[in-house]
Amino acid sequence: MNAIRRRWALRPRAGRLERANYKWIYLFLLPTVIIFVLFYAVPIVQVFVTSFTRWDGFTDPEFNGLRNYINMFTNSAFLQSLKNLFLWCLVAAVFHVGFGTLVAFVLFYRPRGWKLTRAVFMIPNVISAAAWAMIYRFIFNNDFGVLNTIIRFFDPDFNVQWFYQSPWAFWAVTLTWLFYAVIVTLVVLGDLMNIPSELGEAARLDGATGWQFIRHIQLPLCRGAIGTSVIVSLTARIAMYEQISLTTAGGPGNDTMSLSILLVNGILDYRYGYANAVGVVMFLIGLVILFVVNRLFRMDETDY
Amino acid sequence: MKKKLTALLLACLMLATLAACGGTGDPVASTPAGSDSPDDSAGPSGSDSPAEVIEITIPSYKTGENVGAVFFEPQVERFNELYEGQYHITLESVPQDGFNDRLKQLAQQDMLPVLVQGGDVDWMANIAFPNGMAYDLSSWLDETPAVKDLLLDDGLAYCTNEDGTIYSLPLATVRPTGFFYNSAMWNPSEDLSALSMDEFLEVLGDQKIAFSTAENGWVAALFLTALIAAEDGGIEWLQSGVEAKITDFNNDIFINAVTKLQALLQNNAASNSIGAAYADAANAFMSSQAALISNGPWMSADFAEANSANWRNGFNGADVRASLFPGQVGIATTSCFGEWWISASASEEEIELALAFLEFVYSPEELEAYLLAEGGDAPKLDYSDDFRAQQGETQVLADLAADTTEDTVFAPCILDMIPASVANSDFGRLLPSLADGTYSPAEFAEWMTDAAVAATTE
Amino acid sequence: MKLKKGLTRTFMYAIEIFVIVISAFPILWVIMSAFKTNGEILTNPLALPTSITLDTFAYLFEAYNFPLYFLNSLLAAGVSTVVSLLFYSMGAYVIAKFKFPGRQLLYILFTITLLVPSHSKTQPIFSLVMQLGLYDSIWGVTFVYLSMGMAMSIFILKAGFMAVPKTLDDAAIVDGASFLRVFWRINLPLAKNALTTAGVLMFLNNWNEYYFASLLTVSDSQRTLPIALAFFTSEFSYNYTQLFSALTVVILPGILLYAVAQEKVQVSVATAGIKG
Repeated sequence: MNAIRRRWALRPRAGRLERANYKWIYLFLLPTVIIFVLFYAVPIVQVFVTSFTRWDGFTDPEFNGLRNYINMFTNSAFLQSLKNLFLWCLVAAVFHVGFGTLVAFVLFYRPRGWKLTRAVFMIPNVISAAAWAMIYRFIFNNDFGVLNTIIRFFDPDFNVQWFYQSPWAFWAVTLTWLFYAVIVTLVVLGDLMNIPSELGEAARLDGATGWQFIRHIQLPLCRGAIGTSVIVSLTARIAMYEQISLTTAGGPGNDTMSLSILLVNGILDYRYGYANAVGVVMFLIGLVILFVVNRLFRMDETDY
Repeated sequence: MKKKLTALLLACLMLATLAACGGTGDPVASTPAGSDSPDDSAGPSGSDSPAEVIEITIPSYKTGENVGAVFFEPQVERFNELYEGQYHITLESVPQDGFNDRLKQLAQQDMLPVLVQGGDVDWMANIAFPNGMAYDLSSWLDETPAVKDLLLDDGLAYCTNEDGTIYSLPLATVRPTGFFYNSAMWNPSEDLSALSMDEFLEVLGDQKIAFSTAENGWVAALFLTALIAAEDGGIEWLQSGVEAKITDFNNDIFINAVTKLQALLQNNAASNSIGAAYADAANAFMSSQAALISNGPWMSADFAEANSANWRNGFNGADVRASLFPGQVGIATTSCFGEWWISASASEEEIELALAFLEFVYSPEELEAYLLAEGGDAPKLDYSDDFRAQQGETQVLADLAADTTEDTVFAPCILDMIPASVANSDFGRLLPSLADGTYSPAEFAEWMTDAAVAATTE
Repeated sequence: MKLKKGLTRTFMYAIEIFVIVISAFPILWVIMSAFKTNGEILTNPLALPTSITLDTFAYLFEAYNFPLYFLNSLLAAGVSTVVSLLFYSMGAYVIAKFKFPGRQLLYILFTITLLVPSHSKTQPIFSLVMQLGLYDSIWGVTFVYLSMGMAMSIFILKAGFMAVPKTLDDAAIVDGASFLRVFWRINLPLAKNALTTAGVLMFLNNWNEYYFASLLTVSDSQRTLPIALAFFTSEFSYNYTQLFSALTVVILPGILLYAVAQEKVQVSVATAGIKG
């Protein structure tokens, strides 16, 4: 009881007010809940339940306990997929979000051309993931791709099939999304702009240098946005499919295998139970990420 | 409060589940593709005329820009003309990508089109046909010898179920895949298909071959099939995949063939072969960087003068010749479903129309027209002289027709004989590692076995 | 000090140039290649096209009703985005600002929708649309698109609302503002950046969506742009010019629309701020 009271004290929320507003709160939630129930509730339950069955997607599922999970964890492609996902998440959290945040700070100080930069940065997100993957397949093409053509100006005998040779393939796939962090930039920029300008003036009066201001005021106040960006970009890594299937298809060997590819392969073989077990693992990883990042960035606390 | 909310959520969930499951009985407001019969819309005034046109609409991807449309759309037009005032088929063009998914969903709603054009093979065999979704063609075939006599034996055997029912109309034509070669670069005097594989490889010397190893490794898979077929017992081994997909690759047949494929990939492959998609392989051939490419007869259209804008480096389509593989091997899956089946929920009139259409498609004139347009052979059809004359006009098709005799051995493509996910993903994923020597043939076989076992273990 | 400022400035410009190059160059290269012949693409990938012919594009526009597909796409993506943006901002607002039973659970449920595999959604959605009688109708597609951006929007909007100072809400409540008013007049305008981001992302996703649009429509009159474009990519295409042209046709409408709309969006966002 004490602990609860302390938590309430730590997070000053208008408890009285909320109770009076319950009607409104649930009314506001209703549309989203309806959409959730209509479109997602059945699939989510189905994915969980059938992951413990043998199921061809049409006839009645047949309970088979943990078979699907055992098969999954003894499959080398699955283990490699987990490793890849871990590495990709690391790269995404540090470099992808880092780069997006950096661009946000640059744009915040409005150097010449900041509007153009912001507009152009959005373009890769305007086109579909599939089209973007195709574009990169052409860029990395050994015969007529831009990259190797440029490299051959310096080294005429250069030949690398970026998407099809170890260890390049993993990094080639990474490059198709690494720098395209416009969502991060927009989310962080939004938070930066919301920081009350009095804070900046106060800091300047206290004699804070630009760098100190960024480190001690702006970055901490943007942590909600940065945390959101981390969650968004990490879940995007879990769900990433086209960028792999249309370029390396998971190869060479298992170098770029992913859970999404395994899931689709399961469907191809009419092993819906197995595919859904892979889906459950994706859910669980997503939940862990959500939980950890929420804690790490203290995203449930407001600052003002 | 928490309990209440959970209860509410659960209630909603159950409602949604009920709605999702129990919906098939409801009459649906919009009429889906294919199931609208004229009686529904004609109204009371229209019902008194007895000679009404029977009309159906079927979704098809062989329309518009699709390569199949060139032949298929006019064919349906010819049918409509022939039966004017009696039957009419309207085509609704849908993209090929996702077509099979659409069929599956329509089937679950009991709304399949009257005439169904193909579908996912595993789905048809394991789900659609055993669950009574298809109309049994066996008695119609017995009454229509004109069609039945043309059907391929293997196909008929494959499509006939244990109880004698036939759901998918078996094929009457076969399009064996061999290879094309550029006679300006390589002009052997031997009859290539009559050689043994070893003799052929000797004659080949260091000529370059275009391979695709990315995507599903299509062009390389064709060559591998030919190499397997050349091994002792290779064809039987391939055909064993018709009954149950092949999951064990750790045998001499496969390893020997892969050893030869690896040697070809390392010594004879065109320079762009590692990571080459189909487009890259085709371009290597059509820019004289490779003398040889294995591909289906439909590629003949690319060698026609009309396509010359895409040739480079002195390549001339007129120089291209074609041959079946050594040992008179043509790659073709003959034990397979045909293109058409009829929905069991169609009305009697609609079935009458559908059967008339199938009989039309399998008439000698239409079969010959099809062969001229898309290549291939109808082994049980006595060709007309006119047809023979016209077939000779396209050099490569004439080459293939000359090679296809009673002695031709048909080998199914290996990609059709292994689990779908291995064919679509695993095989192509490992080819680059085989080509650059990272994996030995034995390791490759082991990998394939592991992948195939993983794909079939329940 | 001056030197430092100069360095910072140079660094900022370098970042800007890098961003522009990696974002624009790949697309410009694809569009440029669509105007070259197969041979030109292979022999000199970086050269400009020698002659520009619009034959391919002229043919496409003659044979197909692209303006209609464009309108259909605009309708499906636009309507669904506006409606779901309102819904999700309501949901995200109460999750961000209030404490109530089931809050965490709902937040988790809403956000894991991102990871629901599409194959498991297919059947329920198909039968739902059938029952509503919306099969083969652009409205059925629009309806399905309502659900598409749920997770992403809730993430972004929740963060956006949390950044709106709670003191402002309290001040308004003291002044006697109603629940609705606090949401509509204070929080929505102040979360405009998050709203724009979420809205733009949802719109673009729906604009590019292929799978459900192709599954749920058949007639030409209900077709969206991505479906129309799927007719032009075939499995056994080897002609690079054609591949590049197909890609160009796929990406160009979105980019043009974005170029036209982005200035408008910025302006309306700015004025929304003034009104609030």
